Amino acid sequence: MKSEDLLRFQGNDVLQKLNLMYQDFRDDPKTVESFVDDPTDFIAKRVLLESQPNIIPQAVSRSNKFLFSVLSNERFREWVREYQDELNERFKDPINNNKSLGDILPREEVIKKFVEAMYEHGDKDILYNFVANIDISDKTESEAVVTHDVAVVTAIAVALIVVVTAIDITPRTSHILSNTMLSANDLRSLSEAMIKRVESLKGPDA
Amino acid sequence: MLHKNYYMLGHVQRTLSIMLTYQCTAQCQYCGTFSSPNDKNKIDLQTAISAIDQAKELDFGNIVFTGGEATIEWESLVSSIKYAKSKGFPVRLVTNAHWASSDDQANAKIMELKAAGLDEINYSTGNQHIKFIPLSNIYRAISASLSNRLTTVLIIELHKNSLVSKDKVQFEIDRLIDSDLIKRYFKIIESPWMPTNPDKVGEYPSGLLKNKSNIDSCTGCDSVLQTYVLQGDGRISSCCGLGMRMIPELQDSSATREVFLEESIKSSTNDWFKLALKYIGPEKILAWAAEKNKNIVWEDMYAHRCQSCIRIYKDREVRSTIKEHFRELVADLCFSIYLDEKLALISANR
Repeated sequence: MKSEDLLRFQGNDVLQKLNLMYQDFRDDPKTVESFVDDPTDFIAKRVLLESQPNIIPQAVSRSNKFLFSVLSNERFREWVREYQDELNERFKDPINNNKSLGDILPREEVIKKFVEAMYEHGDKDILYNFVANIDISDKTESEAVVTHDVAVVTAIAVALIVVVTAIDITPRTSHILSNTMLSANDLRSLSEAMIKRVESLKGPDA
Repeated sequence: MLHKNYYMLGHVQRTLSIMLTYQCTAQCQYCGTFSSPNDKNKIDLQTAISAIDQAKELDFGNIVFTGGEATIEWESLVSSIKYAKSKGFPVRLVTNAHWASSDDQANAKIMELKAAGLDEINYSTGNQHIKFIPLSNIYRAISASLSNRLTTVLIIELHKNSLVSKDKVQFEIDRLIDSDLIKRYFKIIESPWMPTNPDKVGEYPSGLLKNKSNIDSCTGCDSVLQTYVLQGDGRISSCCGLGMRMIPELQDSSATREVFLEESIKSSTNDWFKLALKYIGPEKILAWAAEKNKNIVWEDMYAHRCQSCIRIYKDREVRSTIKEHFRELVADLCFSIYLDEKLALISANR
């Protein structure tokens, strides 16, 4: 195969440029906001470092925006730490020695708590816009997301299969559990599933 | 020393996988490395030692010996394990247990490996493997490694009609071995057995094939840019995935070069597409390409992510679609990497 036919997009010092950009993100949160609002120019100048007269407009996906809003929130991070500690304590408790994983840690509970926390500490505007058409007359918004439509919970359950399966086949140690619960990939999947399903509930014309 | 900017995600350490040989005692259909008794490609001990030295210099986290069947090159294997251990690496071996033809043999081999410094052993079995290595070898090997308190993982091929199931093996192991040893040192993983041909659809238990209803659960690839492989023919690749050997884009250097590992890292981490595989994942890239080009059919075809990846690299239409539209992904990719870095930092700060 000729080198030009290879499926490669070879850059120069790609990681260095990315790391420099992320350093700016860390130092100045407003830089992140301007990136998220309009990443095209930012990427062209800072990462690709090329003149791009016909650069294709680029976007940051809604799930990434939502995940960013969640992760930027210290209260959510604190909630994750507390929830992990709670789960670790539960696993260590001798009273649970002979119980099955499903009894100690029902998947529905993990899903519900994560969704509630992501809702509670994420960008409410993003999520509220999605759920606006769902009947939430006798529920809080987060309850609506969690309980009002089975599809949402089912989708997130799918995303969390990775988490629960991983716990299933590993020893019950706090180390494994904490790694499992905070896997970057798992949270990403959770965020994506959540946004996608809630979008689909709204329908194309909503 | 590699510049620190070649590390990401909280400086997660890389893995060096060494295939001492491509030769194998088995000849499984769709072997992910195309190994067989007839493939005599192998590397010499000095090359393996050099790779370990380079991995140390580059701050790799662990060493894995795989193949082919690494134990065919027994002397090189034991010497390499000793050397890797002397450099402070955790060491793992992947094997089919062909050598465990009696209890005494199994025990002698395990004791020698453990004395050399092996930390973990992985056994492979399933419909294909048992055509060549009987399940009794696996039981003897597991028994020997657990008796010697060696962390043991059994990897079982997952088919629609699996002749070797997790439950069946677990039942037998529970019968044979002390429960405390099992609890502390043993784990079973089932992994879909995939055709290396992307046009063939494997037969799996229901729910494993990827489609729009479950694509959200797919994650970034944890192999590419994480595991670097010194192959039996001396090529260096930036991925340990199944079928990797047939993908030119994943071959980044050669052991004939002086600093082949560093060269491989630099080349691979400058490839935006490999970053996309790592942070978005092959299934979602394939699904994304199908949104751009309706001729691309992908749903209910793949259970194993490596087969999706082979499809991406080998299908002319998928490749050209990705080439045409890839720039549209770059912004979200950059942000995905940043978010994953933030997540890793949160995790590291616990």
